[in-house]
Amino acid sequence: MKKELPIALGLVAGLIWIITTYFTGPRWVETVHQELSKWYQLAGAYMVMVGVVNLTRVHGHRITQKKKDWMYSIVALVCMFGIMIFGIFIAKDSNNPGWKTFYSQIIAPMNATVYSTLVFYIASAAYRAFRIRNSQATILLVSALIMMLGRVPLGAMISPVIPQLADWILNVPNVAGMRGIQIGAAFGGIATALRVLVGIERGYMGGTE
Amino acid sequence: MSTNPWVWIQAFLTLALFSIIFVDNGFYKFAEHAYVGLYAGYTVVVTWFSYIRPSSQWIFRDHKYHYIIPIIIGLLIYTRYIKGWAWVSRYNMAFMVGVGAGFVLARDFKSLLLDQVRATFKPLFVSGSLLTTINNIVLVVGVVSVMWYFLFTVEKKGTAGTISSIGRVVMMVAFGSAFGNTVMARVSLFLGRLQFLLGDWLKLIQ
Repeated sequence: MKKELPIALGLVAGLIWIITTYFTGPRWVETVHQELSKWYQLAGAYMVMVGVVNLTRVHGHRITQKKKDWMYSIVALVCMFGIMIFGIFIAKDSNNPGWKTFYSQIIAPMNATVYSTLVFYIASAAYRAFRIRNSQATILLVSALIMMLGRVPLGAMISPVIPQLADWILNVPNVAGMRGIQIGAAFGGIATALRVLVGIERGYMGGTE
Repeated sequence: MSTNPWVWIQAFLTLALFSIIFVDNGFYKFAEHAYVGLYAGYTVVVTWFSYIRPSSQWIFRDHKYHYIIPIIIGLLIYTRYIKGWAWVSRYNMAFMVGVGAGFVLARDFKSLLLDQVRATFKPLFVSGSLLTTINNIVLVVGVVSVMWYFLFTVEKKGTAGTISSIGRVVMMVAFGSAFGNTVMARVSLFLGRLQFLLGDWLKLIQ
């Protein structure tokens, strides 16, 4: 019963979602669909503290055991709890000017910096791909080079054909490649979803207890 | 140089995060841990503003008591931290995974499969337009050959191997295109940070 009832709950919830998506018309069907969507979001929202608990456990363990770089764990915990206290008890609203300033002056620039750092890793990855020196790696790099040149004025200065070629690659072979992968992934997703709903796939339930 | 303290904090964090390019160091570790902590806290507060606080209003002010059920389902996840009661969290996971599976079967089935297949049914000869004809042939052959590449129940020899090779080439072009676009997006972000450092902070450029 420790496994069968949860599987039944998942099956019922999944079936209600599918039925209310495909069979529309009566007002109550639409209402059930909207409410189930809200239930899903609400249940997910109340799970958000799992991340906080795990982060606190991991960093708390590092601090108490005085592991390597444990003082940075204090920084992580102070920042996390500090911003939670500030947001929930001091700012109290997403339109609070202090909260908006915190987002625009700290979170957004740090996000941009972290993602921009990836440009160096990408350059290193491109160098490694270039060193492979086979026909497929060359195709990948030529395609990437045309795409990059086609997006900057330098490409058009070299030849007006380059931006057109970049557009063609983006709209034809890129669409073909990505669509083929997407259709394959959709088959995989549908098969997995069916296995989950009927209870064949139970990996998400964790241990054998 | 700027006199705004926010700009100085941003500049310090930006330089600290960029310093990993040269060597792993204390400033980077500080900024990295601060980023992780701040973002985790930020996510919790956004969820609080968007769902958790409004949910109490829906229940007590609007008298929609049925919202207590998803809240209980959500809270069941925390039983995994109680020894002997961890199995109760399966109700939470089963609900989330069940609705997720329903979503895949209902919505993704249409958008990721049916719509994509339908969009691939193109005429292979378009009268009066050689370019459209070529584009359609490349598209159809590309999609079929990429799907063929992922068919592992057939030995890829002879014609089957040739089709598979075409699929690999099409995928390489697609990956190159995705790679190029990603590089351009990251370079754009990097230039934005350089503009901030040289403009807003040091005032060396306008």
